[in-house]
Order: sequence, then C-alpha cells, then structure tokens
Amino acid sequence: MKKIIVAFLLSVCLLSCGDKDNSNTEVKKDQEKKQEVKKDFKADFDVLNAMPDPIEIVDLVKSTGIDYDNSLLNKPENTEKYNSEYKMALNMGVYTVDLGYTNLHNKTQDAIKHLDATKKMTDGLKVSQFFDFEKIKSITQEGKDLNQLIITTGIGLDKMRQGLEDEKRSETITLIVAGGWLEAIYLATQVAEKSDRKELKEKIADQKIVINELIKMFEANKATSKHLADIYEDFKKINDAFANISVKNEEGKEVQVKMSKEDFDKLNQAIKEVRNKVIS
Amino acid sequence: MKRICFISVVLACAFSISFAQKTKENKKSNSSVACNAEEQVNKCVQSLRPLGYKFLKSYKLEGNAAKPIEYQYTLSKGTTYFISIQPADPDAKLKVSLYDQDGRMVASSYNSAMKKFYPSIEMRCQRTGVYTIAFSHESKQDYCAASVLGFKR
Repeated sequence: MKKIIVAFLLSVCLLSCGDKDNSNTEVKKDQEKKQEVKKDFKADFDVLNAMPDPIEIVDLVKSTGIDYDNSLLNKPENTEKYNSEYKMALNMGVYTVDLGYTNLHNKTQDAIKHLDATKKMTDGLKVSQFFDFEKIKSITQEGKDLNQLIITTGIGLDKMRQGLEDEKRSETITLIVAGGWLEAIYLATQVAEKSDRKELKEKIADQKIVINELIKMFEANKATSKHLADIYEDFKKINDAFANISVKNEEGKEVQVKMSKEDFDKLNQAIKEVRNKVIS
Repeated sequence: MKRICFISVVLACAFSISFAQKTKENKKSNSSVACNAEEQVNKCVQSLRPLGYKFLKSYKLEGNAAKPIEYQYTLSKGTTYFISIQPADPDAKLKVSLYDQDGRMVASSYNSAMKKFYPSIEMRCQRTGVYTIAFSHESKQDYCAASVLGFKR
C-alpha cells in the first residue's frame, strides 16, 4: 500500500513538475518573442498615442474655405503598387487622411473610392477586423450624417491602433501614424500656398513637435532594415526643413510663428518630395 | 504493481487537466462578466454629436482602482476639446482631470468645493503641448468605464 501511495505521490509530483516546465517554456518562448519584436522595431506607444490625430489638421484645412481638390489626394488605383507591408502601412495612413478630407467635403464618390483603397490596405495588413466597412460605406453612400461617419471611421482607426498595440506590431502602427501625418501636413502645406489663414501656418509650424518624435523613433530603428533607413533619411529632410521654423506659444499671449517665405517653400518642397516618394 | 502505478498516473493526469480547464473557464467567465468597456465606448461617443464635437480618441477604463489611469495627447492652441466619461455604474465616483505639460491641472470633471461629479469637461486650449488626461475614482471601485475625446474649432 505504501508503495502505491509513494508511486501516486511521485506521479503527481512528476506531473506538476512537468507542468511547471511547460509553463516555464511558454514564458521563455513569450519572452523570446517579445525580444524578437523589440529587436526588430522599438516604439514608444505612449508617444504614438499622444500624437495629434491628423483629422484636426484636415478639419482646419477644410475651414480655410479653399475649394476641394481631389488632384491633391493619392489615387485609389495606386493600391496595386503597394505589395510590401511597409508600403501598405504608410499608404494606409495616407488613404485614411484622404478619406477624412473627402468626407469633410462631403464628396461621396471620392470618399467611396478612398474607402475601398483603405480597405485594400487593411486587408493586406490583416487589420480589417477592426473596421465596420459595411456601416462606413452605407453612411458614406447616404451622405447625410457626416458626424456619424467620422465617429464610425474614427472608432475603427482607434480599435486598429489598440489592436496593433496589443499584437506588438510597433513598426506597422508607427508607419501608419507617419503616413497619416505626412499626408495631413502635405494637404496643409498645399492649401497654405493658396490661403493666408494664420491658424494654418501656426498648425504647420506646430508640427515640429510631431516630426521630432517621429525622427527619434525612425533613428532608433534605422539599422533594422533598408526601408527604415530610407524612411529615416526621407523624414530627416522634412525635419531639417523645420530647422528655422519656430512657434512662440505662451499662455494668454498671441502665438508668434517664425516662418519666412523661404522657410515655408523649403518645407513645402521637402514634404512634397517625401510624400510623392511614399505614394509612388 | 505496474498497473497500479499506471492507473495512478492516469488519474493524476486527468485530475490535473480538468482542474486547469476549470480554472481557465472561471477566469474567462469572471473577466467577461466583470466589465464591458466596449459598450461604454459606444454610449459615450454619442455625447459628442449633439454638441458638435468631432471624434478623436476613445479610452477604455478597466481594472484595479488603486492607481489613476493616465493617457497623454497633444492639444493645440485655439481648439476646444471635450472629454466625456461613461462609467458602467452610474453611481461610480469617477473623475477625469486634465494636466498641462508643467503638471498644472487645467480642468477637472470634479468640483471639490461642491463635491460634485460631472460627466464631461470642455476646455479651449491656450497653449499647444502634450497634456495628461488622468482618470481616477473617489471610491475604491474598480474601473469599468469609457471615455472619449472630441474637438471643435
């Protein structure tokens, strides 16, 4: 009887030890996976989440009263060119901002085309599950409830960002954010050429905060891959063009923007070049 | 003897598997019953529309109440922001406070003088910068709520 009890206790012990080994292996695997992701791309999600949403810039662009111009947008048929994940991520950001621009101007046909382009990018990046495309399309087609459209699209983007964060897809989320920011500042600078609206110039100059953060992230990861090294060099051109631009922003006082015509032209050119490279 | 050993190993194995499964199921059902912050997001987002605010971000507030939950966001001068909170329990003493980059509180949904909790805050930004949005409980209740950030110019 004693032998049976000893054998039983031994077997339980062996099993529980085995369990521990398994859980240790799982923890180890998980840690290794995390390290791999870390090694691949380092991103600070708190910084990414703190970045202003490009819809704020697009809303300001719209408020200038400058006519809607779809030649400024990335062509929906360009989706065929984007086969790599990094190109898809950058252009996912670009198309969502273009979608916001078409929506804010209530241009239903263009909005639907850009919605389809956005969907192709989300399919390629395997993030379509975060969006209710049927609902977005139906609200877009009705063209009546602009607010609901912005809410539904915004919630989808928000869920996608949270989902990518949970999946530790830091490179993808950074590229989407960078692409969206680039398109928004591109639209802002293009419209600023035709508009003297002071707030728009302030907004453009304010983007120095954002480019500084993006550059830090790309610099920390430029050694990871050739495309990240290229993106770093491209965004650095924009960052360098911001060098002479500054905003004196004190509470209770008028905002003072230091941006000469030359500074603006230099920035405008750098943004245009990089944005055209991104969408090519 | 070999047979007895074999049987005891099988029994122990079955016991251990069934125990592990039950523990997993319990954890799963407890967490799903505990909080559905997604539902609160959907309710909360509707508070933006009547006031003409456009959606920017949503925050799910879940988990232990011991510490405040904090997020950061870059606010722009001249833009008016609206932060709405939607707790699952309407009696929850949940508040949201906004701090500027120097750590000064610039708005709060809690009026300490009147000891009153409001469902939202509205603030016209005076200085562009990174602000901290801090959620906290006056009671010891765990978080089960959502918040949305909107803007208008």
